[in-house]
Amino acid sequence: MNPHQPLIDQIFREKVLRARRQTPGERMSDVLELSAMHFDKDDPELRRRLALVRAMDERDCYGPAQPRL
Amino acid sequence: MTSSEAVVTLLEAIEAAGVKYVIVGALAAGAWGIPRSTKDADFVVACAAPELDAVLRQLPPSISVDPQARMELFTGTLRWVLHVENTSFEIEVFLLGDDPHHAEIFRRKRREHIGMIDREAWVPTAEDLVIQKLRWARRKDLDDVQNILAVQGAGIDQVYLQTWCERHGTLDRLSELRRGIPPEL
Repeated sequence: MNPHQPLIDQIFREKVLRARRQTPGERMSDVLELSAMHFDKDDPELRRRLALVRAMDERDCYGPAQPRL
Repeated sequence: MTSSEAVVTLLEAIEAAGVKYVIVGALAAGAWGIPRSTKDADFVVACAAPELDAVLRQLPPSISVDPQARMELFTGTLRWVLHVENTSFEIEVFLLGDDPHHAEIFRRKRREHIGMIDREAWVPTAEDLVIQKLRWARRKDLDDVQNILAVQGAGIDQVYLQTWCERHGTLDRLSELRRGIPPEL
């Protein structure tokens, strides 16, 4: 067993209990707020890393389609 | 333009056009699970391509649209990517295909008020998000599924979930993720 597992479980438990106290709309607001903190900036290094993530998604989940509309 | 402003702009354009839609992806998963940041907001729209084109053409220049649509390989759904100027944030718009589960997502969708942008929007139910994300099964999808199952607890419609997972062949994934949730939750 991972020696850190009890701590990992405790953190997970606290996140779950916090989320249960919120409404769906409050949780969606949190998603937008967290996303703004991370992605509301035009950072070349961030763009490079996101391009790698996108390339993996494209490889696994998407294929070419016809040009737009 | 901020990511939230871009989401509001698209929401307003879609609703003004009378197009039926649901928000999916991490934003919708956040409605039922544990909120996390996301690099994109995902919409599924129930309309024909020309109708979507008319909506996208109304968007301000600060939201640009990729000229090349892509085909999602699990359900054959077409997807367009929108870039928000001066951010690393994107919006993905999927056309509703003829996948039977997608029709269920729209039939059971719920309207929720998002406080941060003071707007109501349509989102899938917790069960439908779990079913959809179990098909995709990327690491982040499986994490979202586990979070939704843990947060919703006994509130999940188990029979509905089991029925679709059986049809999709994802029951084993569902069981494995359930086993990873601490029992007291």
